[in-house]
This record gives sequence, structure tokens and C-alpha cells, in this order.
Amino acid sequence: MMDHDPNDIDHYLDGGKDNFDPNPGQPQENEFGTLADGAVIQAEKNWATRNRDAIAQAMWEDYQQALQERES
Amino acid sequence: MPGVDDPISSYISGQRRFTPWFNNAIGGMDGTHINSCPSAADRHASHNHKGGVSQNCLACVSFTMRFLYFLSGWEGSAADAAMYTHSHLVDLTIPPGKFYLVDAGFWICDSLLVPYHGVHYHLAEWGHANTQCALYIYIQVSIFISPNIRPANREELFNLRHASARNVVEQVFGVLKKCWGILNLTTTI
Repeated sequence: MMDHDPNDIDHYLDGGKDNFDPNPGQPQENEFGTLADGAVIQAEKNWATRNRDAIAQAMWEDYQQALQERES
Repeated sequence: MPGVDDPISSYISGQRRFTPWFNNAIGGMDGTHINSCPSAADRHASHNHKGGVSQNCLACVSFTMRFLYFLSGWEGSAADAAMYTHSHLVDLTIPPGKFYLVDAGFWICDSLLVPYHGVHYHLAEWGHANTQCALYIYIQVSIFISPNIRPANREELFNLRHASARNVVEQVFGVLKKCWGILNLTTTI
């Protein structure tokens, strides 16, 4: 493309508007979420573990209730 | 890629055993080995845990059995968690509050929901019970709700349902390798 028609690439660059980074060096957020900015820290693991325990506990209580409904 | 405001998958919302606990799950994520033919110099790194030569690939799959992300070309010796770490730093975005269901080969974090380690998957225990009690199943289908094989605690129940929901990624791998047998061919040099 650059050999035969260097101007043709302008059709794909959207006028260069998307090349501007308003927060250089900062993680970019969009509707699809963000990328990681490093290894998972212990605090995040602890939170996720507590969250999993909460899910498991709520799931267990609902399961016990469903069993009672089925047996009654 | 899935977005922050994407609706809950009907696969999740339509089943009481999954909703509301897995409402924020995007799908399943796992690694799969595909046979490869590396150069002699690279072959040592391509040996997987089964002794074969392969490339390890990381896939994210939605509950509608669509690929959302695929990373290929890593050595067979690469761990799934290492591929995820690389991907999440480079080009795998995950919306805040959302997560993928993964197996115990990954570590727990905001974006990955991992089963409890050291807790048996009840699916396997049911399979074992079914083998031993095949005749009994014909007589009493309700063996599946027998007190003997019910989940005994919250961890077992969680792992059972987690594995059941995550199974979609295993199904997709099965379909993929059944459609294209070349992915399963052993390298001959």
C-alpha cells in the first residue's frame, strides 16, 4: 500500500484522530474492560477468595432450601 | 469482546443452579494442547506434561459456544496461568465485575473464578457411583438425589456447579478437534 499509493492509508487511519492518547502512560479503559497492569497482588487474591466463599455459602443455603422444598 | 453492559447469558439465567451466582460470568477459559512440529532446538520446550510435543493454546469461550479470545503458539510446557497473565497484560481485556470460569490450573483473582483446591469434583464421584450402580439406576433414577452422593458441603456444591457451567469450554475443544482432525495428529519427523 505504501509503495503504490501512500495516500490510500489515510482511508484507514480515520484522519489520525484515534492516535491521540489523552492519558499517556495510564491504563486505557473502554467498554470491554481493562488490561492488567501487573501481577495479581495478595489483596486482590484475598478479596476474590472471600467473594468465592460468599458465593459458595449463598449457593449452599439455596441448595438446602431447595432440598427442603423437594422433601416437604 | 464482551462488554460491561452485556446481558446475562440465557444459559446462566435460565438455570437455577447457576443464577444468580454466575450472572457475571462471561464464559469459560482454558488451555488446550494442539500438536506442533517445532525445530529441533525448540523441541525440548514443547514437551507437554504427557510427554508429547505440542503447542499450548489459551481460549476464552462464551456460554453460546463462541470463541471470544484465542492465543496460540506457546510451547507445550507453558502453564495455562502464564498464558493468561501474558494475555491479560497485552490484549485480553475483561470488563470490571465480570469474570471467566477457569480450572484449578489458574489462580484466583478479580477476573477468574477458580474452584476450591483439594475438593473433589462431584461430577466424577457421580460417574464412579453410576458405574458401580448401573443396574440400580435403571430401577431408581432418583439415585442422583440420593443422600449418599449429594454434595456434602458448600465447597463440593460450588465445585460441582462450577465444573458444570465451565464445561462449555471443554465441549468447544471437543468440537474443534473433532471437526479438524489435523489438530490431533501426532508429529512425525
